[in-house]
Amino acid sequence: MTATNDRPAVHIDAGWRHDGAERQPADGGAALMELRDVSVFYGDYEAVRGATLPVRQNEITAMIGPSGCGKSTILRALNRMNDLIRGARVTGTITYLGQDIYARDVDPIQVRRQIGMVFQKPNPFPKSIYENVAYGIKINNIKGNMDDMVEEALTGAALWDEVKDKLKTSGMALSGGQQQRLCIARTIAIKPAVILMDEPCSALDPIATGRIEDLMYELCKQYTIVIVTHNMQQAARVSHHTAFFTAEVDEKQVRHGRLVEFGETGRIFTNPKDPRTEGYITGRFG
Amino acid sequence: MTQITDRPPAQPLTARGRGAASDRAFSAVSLAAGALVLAILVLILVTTLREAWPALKYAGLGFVTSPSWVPLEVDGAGPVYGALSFVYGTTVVSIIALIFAVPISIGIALFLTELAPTRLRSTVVTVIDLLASIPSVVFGLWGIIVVGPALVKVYNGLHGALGDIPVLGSLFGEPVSSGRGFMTAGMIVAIMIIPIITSITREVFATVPDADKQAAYALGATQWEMIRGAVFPHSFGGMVGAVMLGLGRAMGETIAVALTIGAATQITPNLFAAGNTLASVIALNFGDPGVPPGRSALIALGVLLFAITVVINYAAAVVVRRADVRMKGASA
Ligand SMILES: Nc1ncnc2c1ncn2[C@@H]1O[C@H](COP(=O)(O)OP(=O)(O)OP(=O)(O)O)[C@@H](O)[C@H]1O
Ligand SMILES: [Mg+2]
Repeated sequence: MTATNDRPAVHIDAGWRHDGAERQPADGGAALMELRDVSVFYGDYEAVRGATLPVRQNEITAMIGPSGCGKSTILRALNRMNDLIRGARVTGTITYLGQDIYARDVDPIQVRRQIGMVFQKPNPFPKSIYENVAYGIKINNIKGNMDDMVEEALTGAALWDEVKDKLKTSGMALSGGQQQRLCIARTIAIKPAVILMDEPCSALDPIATGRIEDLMYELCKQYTIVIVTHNMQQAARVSHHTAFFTAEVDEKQVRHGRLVEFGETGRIFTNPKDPRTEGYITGRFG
Repeated sequence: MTQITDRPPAQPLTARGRGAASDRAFSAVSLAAGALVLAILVLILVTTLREAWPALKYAGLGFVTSPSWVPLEVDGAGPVYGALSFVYGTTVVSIIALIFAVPISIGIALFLTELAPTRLRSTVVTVIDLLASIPSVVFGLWGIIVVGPALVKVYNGLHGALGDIPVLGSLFGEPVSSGRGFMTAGMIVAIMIIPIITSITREVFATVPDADKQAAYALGATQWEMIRGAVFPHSFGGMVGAVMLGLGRAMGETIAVALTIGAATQITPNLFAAGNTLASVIALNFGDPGVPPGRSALIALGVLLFAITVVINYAAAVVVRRADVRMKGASA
């Protein structure tokens, strides 16, 4: 893969464009995003309460925890996809390169152009493979040779060799694993700084999962990745840091998602500080 | 694990159970219904063709190649039945109707599915449904009394402003003083087909999976970019279907067109001129079809309209199938 120092720029105010902006090279482990006391509400229901954690640059951060503890909710908050859900609301601060992404003058569209997302169920557009990748490039007005950019993205997503002879066929005619890599290609085609992945392998078999994991590892050299997964081996295999969430009942008998523990993945899995984490990873509950 | 004690006893797995019988009944009923529709279609075709036959035999190929329609004996010469100018009129009116109706309908449908707050949505839907329930003769009268006279001034203005441009200017010729003509008829028909195109495209847009929309938004799409990238590709087949239904209605619209098109047998590029369509000429002349085989000739126009509709719908189905394979893969 080619170096990606033509990545989107630092600022995310409404008028921002790609042109001429350069991002600082990776500074290994500095927090690219930070969540401080973040709560997410759906209407009156507080789905996640008070999460504080960093997302470090060029790392894979895994979010694990039992079903319904708010992993997807937190993930969607990171690129303002929650804005699309009526009644959803975020309190606390989430910063990207020091800037509050929920600040008044921030345009959510610009946030999503730099913080991309790959979904649980592969969701290619009903268009050709080529058009699937080209779409994001077009709407983001990225200059350059379209064929080259499409090839680069598909290569980056380890899909090029399999599809280079059938770029005109529908993206929906691919296998599930290929579709998911197409969705990754589509995301990296616009060179976001962060890629959010919500259980990207849950619809895939172990071999396809392995390929995506290899790919993530490759990608994190140039991207920062946050992955939600139910698969603890996967979290242990691919991630650098792990956040463990769980759902807890408060004094009013309402369940909220809480961040229990955040730390270096090796440490979380071998030497968890919190008994709830230990219980979950050893399979005693959840 | 507790022991299950109330599991129903095992049944034979052969297809003789209750379920299979009802399935067979269901498929028999649907087969019968399908066959009935087909039978009615064939019956209509056969009987009308039989009625149309004398005129078709009399006119020969001239029926579709000649633009002149003279259902009388003139100076000893027999009647002439050439449908070309009516085919032309049908085409022009339908195209005008679609040009106005399709963008408006798609716009309304997008507004309803993507933008409108829930309360406004039901109001707009009610209003549009109401539009669909207005009888076409009312549209026709409205066209004669209100729309035509009101539009003459606009037509005159357009004629003055654009009439001198070479080629293009010929579209904007001298209007008829009553305002009746292709353009007025086309616009009336446009209003009449907006409800059907709107309601079908709305249904189609509503089936676009949220996942597709989210995928577009996650790439930094604006709402319009999302619509272009996710909603339209997903809805292509349904949109074509909706337009085809509207087109079918436009081509077949009879009384509203008969009242507003001005009834003239001519082929002219002038959109403001009077003309006739296949359907309107039948309605206007069936009471007094001229010398034999005049009645048969009018029925033959109906057969021709029917044939054109079938061909267009078939072509549309082919287009949709091809596009679906291209966009959604062979399985779709
Ligand atoms: N759109 C929504 N509207 C209202 N409540 C929601 C919505 N989405 C999620 N919730 C609620 O928020 C809580 C957290 O849901 P979320 O989907 O984030 O859990 P999760 O950890 O991703 O679970 P899973 O592992 O099953 O995907 C749940 O109680 C859920 O019911
Ligand atoms: Mg989830």
